Amino acid sequence: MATKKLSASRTESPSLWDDMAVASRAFRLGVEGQGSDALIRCIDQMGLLLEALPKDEIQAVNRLLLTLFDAQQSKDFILVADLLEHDLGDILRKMPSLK
Amino acid sequence: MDVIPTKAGSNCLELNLAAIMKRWPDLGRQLSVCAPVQVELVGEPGSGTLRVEGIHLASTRDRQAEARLQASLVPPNSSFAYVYGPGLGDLPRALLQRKNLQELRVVIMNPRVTCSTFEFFDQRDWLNDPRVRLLTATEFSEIRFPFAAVPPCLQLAADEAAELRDLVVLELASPYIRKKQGAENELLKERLAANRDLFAADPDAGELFGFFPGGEFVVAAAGPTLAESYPWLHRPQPQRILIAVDAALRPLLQAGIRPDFVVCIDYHYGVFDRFFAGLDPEMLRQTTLVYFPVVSPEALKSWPGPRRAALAALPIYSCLRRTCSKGELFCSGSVIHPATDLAVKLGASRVFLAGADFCFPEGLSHVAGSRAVPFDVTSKRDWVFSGEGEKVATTPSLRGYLRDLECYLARHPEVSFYTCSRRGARIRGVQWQQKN
Repeated sequence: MATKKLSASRTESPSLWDDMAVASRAFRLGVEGQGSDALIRCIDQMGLLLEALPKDEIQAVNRLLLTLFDAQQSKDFILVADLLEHDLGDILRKMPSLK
Repeated sequence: MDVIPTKAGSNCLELNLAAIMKRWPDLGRQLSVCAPVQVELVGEPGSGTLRVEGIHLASTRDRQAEARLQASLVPPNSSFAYVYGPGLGDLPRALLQRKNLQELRVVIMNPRVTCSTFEFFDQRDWLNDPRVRLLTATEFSEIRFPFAAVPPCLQLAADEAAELRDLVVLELASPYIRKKQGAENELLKERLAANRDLFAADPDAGELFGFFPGGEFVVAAAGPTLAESYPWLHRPQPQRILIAVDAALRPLLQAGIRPDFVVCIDYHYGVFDRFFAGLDPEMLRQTTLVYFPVVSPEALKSWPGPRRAALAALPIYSCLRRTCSKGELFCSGSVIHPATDLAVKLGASRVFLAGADFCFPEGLSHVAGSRAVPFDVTSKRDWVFSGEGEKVATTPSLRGYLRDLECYLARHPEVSFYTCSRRGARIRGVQWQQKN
Protein backbone atom coordinates (compact mmCIF):
# COMPACT_ATOMS: atom_id res chain seq x y z
CA MET A 1 0.00 0.00 0.00
CA ALA A 2 2.82 2.33 0.91
CA THR A 3 4.53 1.54 -2.39
CA LYS A 4 1.34 2.18 -4.25
CA LYS A 5 0.95 5.47 -2.38
CA LEU A 6 4.51 6.41 -3.20
CA SER A 7 4.06 5.59 -6.86
CA ALA A 8 1.02 7.78 -6.88
CA SER A 9 3.05 10.42 -5.13
CA ARG A 10 5.78 10.11 -7.73
CA THR A 11 3.22 10.98 -10.36
CA GLU A 12 2.04 13.83 -8.17
CA SER A 13 5.47 14.64 -6.83
CA PRO A 14 6.06 17.41 -9.35
CA SER A 15 3.76 19.38 -7.09
CA LEU A 16 6.19 18.81 -4.22
CA TRP A 17 9.04 20.07 -6.40
CA ASP A 18 6.83 22.96 -7.50
CA ASP A 19 6.04 23.90 -3.91
CA MET A 20 9.69 23.65 -2.92
CA ALA A 21 10.57 25.97 -5.79
CA VAL A 22 7.75 28.36 -4.89
CA ALA A 23 8.79 28.40 -1.25
CA SER A 24 12.49 28.97 -1.88
CA ARG A 25 11.74 31.63 -4.48
CA ALA A 26 9.34 33.44 -2.17
CA PHE A 27 11.77 33.42 0.73
CA ARG A 28 14.58 34.82 -1.44
CA LEU A 29 12.25 37.60 -2.59
CA GLY A 30 11.05 38.47 0.92
CA VAL A 31 7.48 37.24 0.47
CA GLU A 32 7.32 35.49 3.80
CA GLY A 33 3.62 34.64 3.67
CA GLN A 34 3.84 32.90 0.32
CA GLY A 35 7.00 31.07 1.36
CA SER A 36 5.43 29.84 4.57
CA ASP A 37 2.25 28.67 2.85
CA ALA A 38 4.24 26.75 0.23
CA LEU A 39 6.50 25.30 2.92
CA ILE A 40 3.48 23.93 4.77
CA ARG A 41 2.34 22.21 1.58
CA CYS A 42 5.84 20.77 1.14
CA ILE A 43 5.86 19.36 4.65
CA ASP A 44 2.42 17.81 4.18
CA GLN A 45 3.50 16.10 0.98
CA MET A 46 6.81 14.96 2.45
CA GLY A 47 4.97 13.32 5.29
CA LEU A 48 3.44 10.93 2.78
CA LEU A 49 6.77 10.27 1.08
CA LEU A 50 8.61 9.59 4.30
CA GLU A 51 6.30 6.74 5.23
CA ALA A 52 7.79 4.58 2.50
CA LEU A 53 11.44 5.41 3.04
CA PRO A 54 14.17 3.41 4.77
CA LYS A 55 14.97 4.46 8.30
CA ASP A 56 18.32 6.09 7.53
CA GLU A 57 16.78 8.24 4.81
CA ILE A 58 13.99 9.30 7.14
CA GLN A 59 16.54 10.32 9.72
CA ALA A 60 18.49 12.36 7.19
CA VAL A 61 15.37 14.20 6.13
CA ASN A 62 14.26 14.74 9.72
CA ARG A 63 17.63 16.22 10.67
CA LEU A 64 17.41 18.58 7.77
CA LEU A 65 13.86 19.55 8.59
CA LEU A 66 14.83 20.39 12.17
CA THR A 67 17.54 22.71 10.87
CA LEU A 68 15.06 24.21 8.45
CA PHE A 69 12.44 24.84 11.14
CA ASP A 70 15.06 26.44 13.36
CA ALA A 71 16.02 28.74 10.51
CA GLN A 72 12.38 29.59 9.86
CA GLN A 73 11.83 30.34 13.54
CA SER A 74 14.85 32.64 13.47
CA LYS A 75 13.51 34.26 10.29
CA ASP A 76 16.73 33.31 8.51
CA PHE A 77 14.79 32.90 5.29
CA ILE A 78 17.76 32.79 2.91
CA LEU A 79 19.00 29.75 4.82
CA VAL A 80 15.51 28.23 4.63
CA ALA A 81 15.57 28.74 0.86
CA ASP A 82 19.02 27.16 0.55
CA LEU A 83 18.01 24.17 2.65
CA LEU A 84 14.85 23.63 0.62
CA GLU A 85 16.31 24.17 -2.81
CA HIS A 86 19.67 22.50 -2.37
CA ASP A 87 20.01 20.31 0.70
CA LEU A 88 16.54 18.82 0.87
CA GLY A 89 16.18 18.78 -2.87
CA ASP A 90 19.47 16.88 -3.18
CA ILE A 91 18.38 14.27 -0.64
CA LEU A 92 14.99 13.74 -2.23
CA ARG A 93 16.42 13.53 -5.74
CA LYS A 94 18.81 10.78 -4.67
CA MET A 95 16.17 8.59 -3.12
CA PRO A 96 15.69 5.47 -5.20
CA SER A 97 12.01 5.44 -4.38
CA LEU A 98 11.61 8.77 -6.11
CA LYS A 99 13.53 7.87 -9.27
CA MET B 1 30.65 41.86 -13.03
CA ASP B 2 32.17 39.23 -10.73
CA VAL B 3 32.18 39.06 -7.00
CA ILE B 4 35.47 40.38 -5.74
CA PRO B 5 35.94 38.70 -2.40
CA THR B 6 38.76 39.31 -0.03
CA LYS B 7 39.88 38.15 3.34
CA ALA B 8 38.87 39.71 6.58
CA GLY B 9 41.61 41.85 8.04
CA SER B 10 42.73 43.36 4.78
CA ASN B 11 42.20 47.02 3.99
CA CYS B 12 39.04 46.18 2.13
CA LEU B 13 36.92 48.50 4.24
CA GLU B 14 39.23 51.41 3.55
CA LEU B 15 39.20 50.73 -0.19
CA ASN B 16 35.41 50.62 -0.29
CA LEU B 17 35.06 53.75 1.82
CA ALA B 18 37.61 55.60 -0.30
CA ALA B 19 35.52 54.85 -3.38
CA ILE B 20 32.45 56.25 -1.62
CA MET B 21 34.28 59.31 -0.29
CA LYS B 22 35.37 60.17 -3.81
CA ARG B 23 31.79 60.28 -5.14
CA TRP B 24 29.67 60.95 -2.04
CA PRO B 25 31.86 62.62 0.56
CA ASP B 26 29.08 63.30 3.08
CA LEU B 27 27.93 59.71 2.97
CA GLY B 28 31.52 58.52 3.13
CA ARG B 29 32.12 60.54 6.27
CA GLN B 30 28.97 59.12 7.81
CA LEU B 31 29.95 55.56 7.01
CA SER B 32 33.53 56.01 8.16
CA VAL B 33 32.38 56.62 11.73
CA CYS B 34 29.91 53.73 11.73
CA ALA B 35 30.63 50.95 14.16
CA PRO B 36 30.31 47.74 12.14
CA VAL B 37 28.05 45.04 13.51
CA GLN B 38 29.34 41.65 14.49
CA VAL B 39 29.25 39.27 11.55
CA GLU B 40 30.28 35.72 10.71
CA LEU B 41 31.70 34.72 7.37
CA VAL B 42 29.83 31.61 6.24
CA GLY B 43 31.13 29.31 3.56
CA GLU B 44 34.31 29.61 1.56
CA PRO B 45 36.12 32.96 1.43
CA GLY B 46 35.75 33.08 -2.33
CA SER B 47 32.03 32.50 -2.48
CA GLY B 48 30.75 32.85 1.02
CA THR B 49 28.21 35.06 2.61
CA LEU B 50 27.85 36.88 5.88
CA ARG B 51 25.57 36.08 8.75
CA VAL B 52 24.42 39.07 10.79
CA GLU B 53 22.37 38.62 13.97
CA GLY B 54 21.66 35.07 12.90
CA ILE B 55 20.49 36.01 9.40
CA HIS B 56 22.29 35.08 6.19
CA LEU B 57 22.66 38.12 3.95
CA ALA B 58 22.81 35.98 0.83
CA SER B 59 22.75 32.41 -0.35
CA THR B 60 25.69 30.18 0.50
CA ARG B 61 25.04 28.19 -2.69
CA ASP B 62 24.53 30.55 -5.58
CA ARG B 63 24.55 34.24 -4.76
CA GLN B 64 24.41 35.32 -8.39
CA ALA B 65 21.33 33.26 -9.19
CA GLU B 66 19.65 34.67 -6.11
CA ALA B 67 20.56 38.20 -7.13
CA ARG B 68 19.19 37.63 -10.63
CA LEU B 69 15.94 36.43 -9.10
CA GLN B 70 15.72 39.50 -6.88
CA ALA B 71 16.59 41.75 -9.84
CA SER B 72 13.70 40.26 -11.82
CA LEU B 73 11.30 42.49 -9.88
CA VAL B 74 12.56 45.40 -11.97
CA PRO B 75 11.02 45.37 -15.46
CA PRO B 76 13.66 44.40 -18.04
CA ASN B 77 13.24 47.57 -20.09
CA SER B 78 13.43 49.92 -17.13
CA SER B 79 16.10 52.59 -17.48
CA PHE B 80 15.90 53.44 -13.81
CA ALA B 81 15.61 51.42 -10.60
CA TYR B 82 15.99 51.46 -6.84
CA VAL B 83 17.72 48.83 -4.75
CA TYR B 84 16.84 48.57 -1.06
CA GLY B 85 19.83 46.77 0.42
CA PRO B 86 22.53 46.62 -0.77
CA GLY B 87 23.49 43.28 0.77
CA LEU B 88 26.82 42.02 -0.51
CA GLY B 89 26.53 44.00 -3.74
CA ASP B 90 25.23 41.13 -5.87
CA LEU B 91 21.88 42.78 -6.55
CA PRO B 92 23.33 46.10 -7.78
CA ARG B 93 25.73 44.09 -9.95
CA ALA B 94 22.93 42.02 -11.43
CA LEU B 95 20.97 45.14 -12.40
CA LEU B 96 24.03 47.00 -13.70
CA GLN B 97 24.53 44.21 -16.22
CA ARG B 98 21.50 45.57 -18.04
CA LYS B 99 22.72 47.79 -20.83
CA ASN B 100 19.56 49.89 -20.90
CA LEU B 101 19.78 50.76 -17.22
CA GLN B 102 20.80 54.40 -17.00
CA GLU B 103 20.50 55.08 -13.28
CA LEU B 104 20.53 52.84 -10.24
CA ARG B 105 19.77 54.35 -6.85
CA VAL B 106 21.07 52.08 -4.11
CA VAL B 107 19.48 52.74 -0.72
CA ILE B 108 21.43 51.63 2.34
CA MET B 109 18.95 50.22 4.83
CA ASN B 110 21.49 49.88 7.63
CA PRO B 111 24.83 51.74 7.42
CA ARG B 112 26.42 49.56 10.11
CA VAL B 113 25.55 46.35 8.28
CA THR B 114 26.79 47.80 5.00
CA CYS B 115 30.08 48.80 6.62
CA SER B 116 30.45 45.25 7.83
CA THR B 117 30.00 43.90 4.31
CA PHE B 118 32.66 46.36 3.13
CA GLU B 119 35.12 44.73 5.52
CA PHE B 120 34.81 41.38 3.80
CA PHE B 121 33.93 42.09 0.18
CA ASP B 122 35.49 44.50 -2.25
CA GLN B 123 32.49 46.25 -3.80
CA ARG B 124 34.29 48.96 -5.70
CA ASP B 125 33.16 47.49 -9.01
CA TRP B 126 29.58 48.61 -8.59
CA LEU B 127 30.35 51.56 -6.29
CA ASN B 128 32.46 53.07 -9.07
CA ASP B 129 29.85 52.51 -11.77
CA PRO B 130 28.84 55.99 -12.96
CA ARG B 131 25.19 54.92 -13.13
CA VAL B 132 25.04 54.31 -9.39
CA ARG B 133 23.79 56.81 -6.84
CA LEU B 134 24.26 55.73 -3.25
CA LEU B 135 21.75 56.96 -0.68
CA THR B 136 20.61 56.28 2.84
CA ALA B 137 17.09 55.34 3.87
CA THR B 138 16.66 58.53 5.86
CA GLU B 139 16.39 60.40 2.57
CA PHE B 140 13.07 58.71 1.84
CA SER B 141 9.68 58.93 3.47
CA GLU B 142 8.02 56.79 0.83
CA ILE B 143 8.84 53.86 -1.35
CA ARG B 144 10.07 54.50 -4.89
CA PHE B 145 9.53 52.40 -7.99
CA PRO B 146 10.60 50.29 -9.73
CA PHE B 147 12.63 48.55 -7.08
CA ALA B 148 14.36 45.37 -6.08
CA ALA B 149 15.32 44.46 -2.55
CA VAL B 150 17.67 42.33 -0.51
CA PRO B 151 15.18 40.95 2.06
CA PRO B 152 17.72 40.29 4.85
CA CYS B 153 18.69 43.98 4.65
CA LEU B 154 15.06 44.85 5.29
CA GLN B 155 15.00 42.61 8.36
CA LEU B 156 18.20 44.23 9.58
CA ALA B 157 17.12 47.78 8.73
CA ALA B 158 18.31 50.51 11.04
CA ASP B 159 15.82 52.12 13.38
CA GLU B 160 15.61 55.26 11.28
CA ALA B 161 14.75 53.12 8.24
CA ALA B 162 11.89 51.30 9.96
CA GLU B 163 9.03 52.99 8.11
CA LEU B 164 10.66 52.63 4.70
CA ARG B 165 11.39 49.01 5.57
CA ASP B 166 7.73 48.40 6.31
CA LEU B 167 6.60 49.99 3.06
CA VAL B 168 9.01 47.86 1.02
CA VAL B 169 8.04 44.68 2.85
CA LEU B 170 4.37 45.49 2.33
CA GLU B 171 4.91 46.12 -1.36
CA LEU B 172 6.75 42.81 -1.75
CA ALA B 173 3.90 40.95 -0.04
CA SER B 174 1.02 42.70 -1.77
CA PRO B 175 0.76 40.65 -4.98
CA TYR B 176 0.49 37.40 -3.04
CA ILE B 177 -1.99 38.87 -0.58
CA ARG B 178 -4.17 40.11 -3.44
CA LYS B 179 -4.02 36.71 -5.10
CA LYS B 180 -4.93 34.94 -1.88
CA GLN B 181 -7.95 37.15 -1.37
CA GLY B 182 -8.92 37.20 -5.00
CA ALA B 183 -11.52 35.52 -7.11
CA GLU B 184 -9.75 32.14 -6.92
CA ASN B 185 -10.36 31.81 -3.21
CA GLU B 186 -13.02 29.10 -2.99
CA LEU B 187 -14.24 30.06 0.47
CA LEU B 188 -14.76 33.65 -0.60
CA LYS B 189 -16.73 32.54 -3.63
CA GLU B 190 -18.81 30.24 -1.48
CA ARG B 191 -19.59 33.07 0.95
CA LEU B 192 -20.54 35.50 -1.80
CA ALA B 193 -22.98 32.97 -3.20
CA ALA B 194 -24.46 32.14 0.21
CA ASN B 195 -24.97 35.81 1.13
CA ARG B 196 -26.08 37.07 -2.27
CA ASP B 197 -29.78 37.50 -1.53
CA LEU B 198 -29.39 38.81 2.00
CA PHE B 199 -26.71 41.26 0.89
CA ALA B 200 -28.88 42.57 -1.92
CA ALA B 201 -31.86 43.00 0.39
CA ASP B 202 -30.04 44.62 3.30
CA PRO B 203 -29.95 48.41 3.56
CA ASP B 204 -26.92 50.13 2.10
CA ALA B 205 -24.29 51.40 4.52
CA GLY B 206 -23.73 54.22 2.04
CA GLU B 207 -27.11 55.71 2.93
CA LEU B 208 -25.63 56.69 6.29
CA PHE B 209 -22.60 58.46 4.82
CA GLY B 210 -22.54 62.07 5.97
CA PHE B 211 -25.22 61.42 8.57
CA PHE B 212 -23.12 62.76 11.44
CA PRO B 213 -21.34 65.84 10.07
CA GLY B 214 -18.59 67.11 12.32
CA GLY B 215 -19.10 64.17 14.68
CA GLU B 216 -16.72 62.77 17.25
CA PHE B 217 -16.10 59.08 16.83
CA VAL B 218 -14.23 56.36 18.65
CA VAL B 219 -12.98 53.38 16.67
CA ALA B 220 -12.37 50.47 19.03
CA ALA B 221 -9.95 47.82 17.80
CA ALA B 222 -9.07 44.70 19.77
CA GLY B 223 -5.51 45.48 20.79
CA PRO B 224 -4.46 45.15 24.43
CA THR B 225 -4.57 48.89 25.09
CA LEU B 226 -8.32 49.04 24.41
CA ALA B 227 -8.83 48.40 28.12
CA GLU B 228 -7.15 51.74 28.91
CA SER B 229 -10.09 53.45 27.24
CA TYR B 230 -12.84 51.71 29.22
CA PRO B 231 -13.11 54.37 31.96
CA TRP B 232 -13.73 57.26 29.61
CA LEU B 233 -15.85 55.17 27.25
CA HIS B 234 -18.06 54.47 30.27
CA ARG B 235 -18.70 58.15 30.81
CA PRO B 236 -21.90 59.15 29.04
CA GLN B 237 -21.16 61.18 25.96
CA PRO B 238 -24.26 61.43 23.78
CA GLN B 239 -22.44 63.13 20.94
CA ARG B 240 -19.77 60.49 20.68
CA ILE B 241 -20.28 57.53 18.35
CA LEU B 242 -18.54 54.26 19.05
CA ILE B 243 -17.57 51.95 16.21
CA ALA B 244 -16.14 48.59 17.22
CA VAL B 245 -14.35 46.00 15.14
CA ASP B 246 -15.85 42.53 15.53
CA ALA B 247 -13.07 41.21 17.75
CA ALA B 248 -13.55 44.08 20.20
CA LEU B 249 -17.29 43.57 20.64
CA ARG B 250 -17.21 40.90 23.34
CA PRO B 251 -14.63 42.71 25.53
CA LEU B 252 -16.55 45.98 25.22
CA LEU B 253 -19.84 44.37 26.23
CA GLN B 254 -18.14 42.63 29.13
CA ALA B 255 -16.94 46.07 30.22
CA GLY B 256 -20.51 47.35 29.98
CA ILE B 257 -19.86 49.43 26.86
CA ARG B 258 -22.24 49.13 23.95
CA PRO B 259 -21.00 50.23 20.53
CA ASP B 260 -23.21 52.06 18.06
CA PHE B 261 -21.71 50.19 15.11
CA VAL B 262 -19.83 46.93 14.70
CA VAL B 263 -17.78 46.28 11.57
CA CYS B 264 -17.23 42.71 10.37
CA ILE B 265 -15.35 41.73 7.23
CA ASP B 266 -13.77 38.42 8.24
CA TYR B 267 -14.56 35.46 6.00
CA HIS B 268 -12.76 32.79 7.99
CA TYR B 269 -14.50 29.91 9.70
CA GLY B 270 -15.31 30.43 13.33
CA VAL B 271 -16.09 34.13 13.22
CA PHE B 272 -19.55 33.63 14.64
CA ASP B 273 -18.32 31.40 17.46
CA ARG B 274 -15.44 33.65 18.38
CA PHE B 275 -17.01 37.07 18.13
CA PHE B 276 -20.79 36.77 18.42
CA ALA B 277 -21.86 33.47 19.98
CA GLY B 278 -23.32 33.77 23.46
CA LEU B 279 -23.70 37.55 23.44
CA ASP B 280 -26.85 39.01 24.97
CA PRO B 281 -29.00 39.97 21.97
CA GLU B 282 -30.76 42.64 24.01
CA MET B 283 -27.46 44.51 24.29
CA LEU B 284 -27.21 44.67 20.52
CA ARG B 285 -30.71 45.57 19.34
CA GLN B 286 -29.64 49.18 18.81
CA THR B 287 -26.22 48.34 17.38
CA THR B 288 -25.80 48.36 13.63
CA LEU B 289 -23.67 45.68 12.00
CA VAL B 290 -21.80 46.97 8.97
CA TYR B 291 -20.44 44.05 6.99
CA PHE B 292 -18.83 42.87 3.76
CA PRO B 293 -20.62 40.09 1.86
CA VAL B 294 -17.99 37.43 2.68
CA VAL B 295 -18.86 37.29 6.34
CA SER B 296 -20.25 34.02 7.71
CA PRO B 297 -23.99 33.73 6.92
CA GLU B 298 -24.55 32.49 10.47
CA ALA B 299 -23.07 35.68 11.89
CA LEU B 300 -25.29 37.81 9.66
CA LYS B 301 -28.53 35.96 10.28
CA SER B 302 -28.03 35.85 14.03
CA TRP B 303 -27.37 39.56 14.37
CA PRO B 304 -30.15 40.97 16.55
CA GLY B 305 -29.82 44.59 15.50
CA PRO B 306 -29.91 46.44 12.19
CA ARG B 307 -27.54 45.43 9.41
CA ARG B 308 -25.97 47.62 6.74
CA ALA B 309 -24.19 46.11 3.74
CA ALA B 310 -20.97 47.56 2.36
CA LEU B 311 -18.32 46.77 -0.21
CA ALA B 312 -14.65 47.50 -0.74
CA ALA B 313 -12.68 48.31 -3.87
CA LEU B 314 -11.18 44.81 -3.97
CA PRO B 315 -11.04 42.43 -6.95
CA ILE B 316 -13.24 39.86 -5.19
CA TYR B 317 -16.07 42.39 -5.17
CA SER B 318 -15.66 43.73 -8.70
CA CYS B 319 -18.65 41.87 -10.06
CA LEU B 320 -20.82 42.72 -7.08
CA ARG B 321 -19.89 46.38 -7.33
CA ARG B 322 -21.44 46.41 -10.78
CA THR B 323 -24.54 44.37 -10.01
CA CYS B 324 -25.37 45.28 -6.43
CA SER B 325 -23.83 48.60 -5.61
CA LYS B 326 -23.41 49.49 -1.92
CA GLY B 327 -21.42 52.09 -0.07
CA GLU B 328 -17.71 51.42 -0.21
CA LEU B 329 -15.27 51.39 2.65
CA PHE B 330 -11.50 51.41 2.46
CA CYS B 331 -9.98 48.04 3.23
CA SER B 332 -6.44 46.73 2.97
CA GLY B 333 -6.59 43.53 4.97
CA SER B 334 -7.56 44.66 8.46
CA VAL B 335 -11.03 45.41 9.83
CA ILE B 336 -9.59 48.56 11.43
CA HIS B 337 -9.42 50.04 7.92
CA PRO B 338 -13.16 49.94 7.09
CA ALA B 339 -14.02 50.78 10.71
CA THR B 340 -11.94 53.96 10.48
CA ASP B 341 -13.25 54.78 7.03
CA LEU B 342 -16.80 54.29 8.28
CA ALA B 343 -16.18 56.96 10.91
CA VAL B 344 -14.79 59.31 8.28
CA LYS B 345 -17.59 58.64 5.82
CA LEU B 346 -20.26 59.06 8.48
CA GLY B 347 -18.94 62.60 8.86
CA ALA B 348 -16.29 62.53 11.58
CA SER B 349 -14.22 65.60 12.29
CA ARG B 350 -12.43 63.83 15.18
CA VAL B 351 -11.63 60.14 15.44
CA PHE B 352 -10.12 58.47 18.49
CA LEU B 353 -8.42 55.15 17.84
CA ALA B 354 -8.63 52.88 20.85
CA GLY B 355 -6.83 49.54 20.91
CA ALA B 356 -5.33 50.10 17.45
CA ASP B 357 -2.02 48.72 18.62
CA PHE B 358 -0.62 46.87 15.60
CA CYS B 359 1.86 45.25 17.98
CA PHE B 360 2.06 43.36 21.27
CA PRO B 361 2.36 45.72 24.24
CA GLU B 362 3.47 43.78 27.31
CA GLY B 363 3.70 40.71 25.07
CA LEU B 364 -0.08 40.52 24.68
CA SER B 365 -1.88 39.79 21.43
CA HIS B 366 -5.38 41.13 22.11
CA VAL B 367 -7.38 42.85 24.81
CA ALA B 368 -8.61 40.61 27.62
CA GLY B 369 -11.90 38.97 26.74
CA SER B 370 -11.38 38.97 22.98
CA ARG B 371 -11.58 35.56 21.39
CA ALA B 372 -9.65 36.57 18.30
CA VAL B 373 -7.08 34.02 17.18
CA PRO B 374 -3.98 35.11 19.07
CA PHE B 375 -0.88 36.15 17.21
CA ASP B 376 2.46 34.50 17.81
CA VAL B 377 3.99 37.02 20.17
CA THR B 378 7.24 35.15 20.77
CA SER B 379 9.29 36.35 17.82
CA LYS B 380 11.18 39.55 18.46
CA ARG B 381 12.51 39.84 14.93
CA ASP B 382 9.70 42.07 13.69
CA TRP B 383 9.03 45.26 15.59
CA VAL B 384 7.58 48.75 15.45
CA PHE B 385 8.16 51.83 17.55
CA SER B 386 5.51 52.45 20.19
CA GLY B 387 4.17 55.86 21.01
CA GLU B 388 6.67 55.83 23.86
CA GLY B 389 9.55 55.29 21.45
CA GLU B 390 10.16 51.71 22.52
CA LYS B 391 10.53 48.79 20.10
CA VAL B 392 7.55 46.48 20.47
CA ALA B 393 7.23 43.07 18.83
CA THR B 394 4.76 42.70 16.02
CA THR B 395 4.19 40.68 12.87
CA PRO B 396 4.81 41.66 9.24
CA SER B 397 1.07 41.57 8.56
CA LEU B 398 0.25 43.94 11.44
CA ARG B 399 2.99 46.26 10.29
CA GLY B 400 1.55 46.21 6.80
CA TYR B 401 -1.91 47.10 8.14
CA LEU B 402 -0.36 49.94 10.14
CA ARG B 403 1.39 51.44 7.12
CA ASP B 404 -1.73 51.12 4.98
CA LEU B 405 -3.71 52.89 7.70
CA GLU B 406 -1.12 55.67 7.76
CA CYS B 407 -1.42 56.09 4.00
CA TYR B 408 -5.19 56.29 4.43
CA LEU B 409 -4.99 58.85 7.23
CA ALA B 410 -2.72 61.03 5.10
CA ARG B 411 -5.49 61.19 2.50
CA HIS B 412 -7.89 62.70 5.08
CA PRO B 413 -6.36 65.90 6.41
CA GLU B 414 -9.89 67.16 7.09
CA VAL B 415 -10.18 64.76 10.03
CA SER B 416 -8.19 64.87 13.28
CA PHE B 417 -7.06 61.45 14.48
CA TYR B 418 -6.06 60.68 18.04
CA THR B 419 -4.94 57.80 20.16
CA CYS B 420 -5.36 57.47 23.90
CA SER B 421 -2.50 55.11 24.50
CA ARG B 422 1.18 55.40 23.82
CA ARG B 423 1.87 51.73 24.38
CA GLY B 424 0.64 50.66 20.95
CA ALA B 425 2.41 51.37 17.69
CA ARG B 426 3.20 54.95 16.86
CA ILE B 427 0.84 55.83 14.02
CA ARG B 428 1.86 58.59 11.67
CA GLY B 429 -0.90 61.16 11.45
CA VAL B 430 -2.31 60.34 14.88
CA GLN B 431 -1.83 62.52 17.93
CA TRP B 432 -1.82 61.28 21.46
CA GLN B 433 -4.48 62.75 23.69
CA GLN B 434 -4.76 61.81 27.31
CA LYS B 435 -8.20 60.76 28.44
CA ASN B 436 -8.83 60.70 32.18
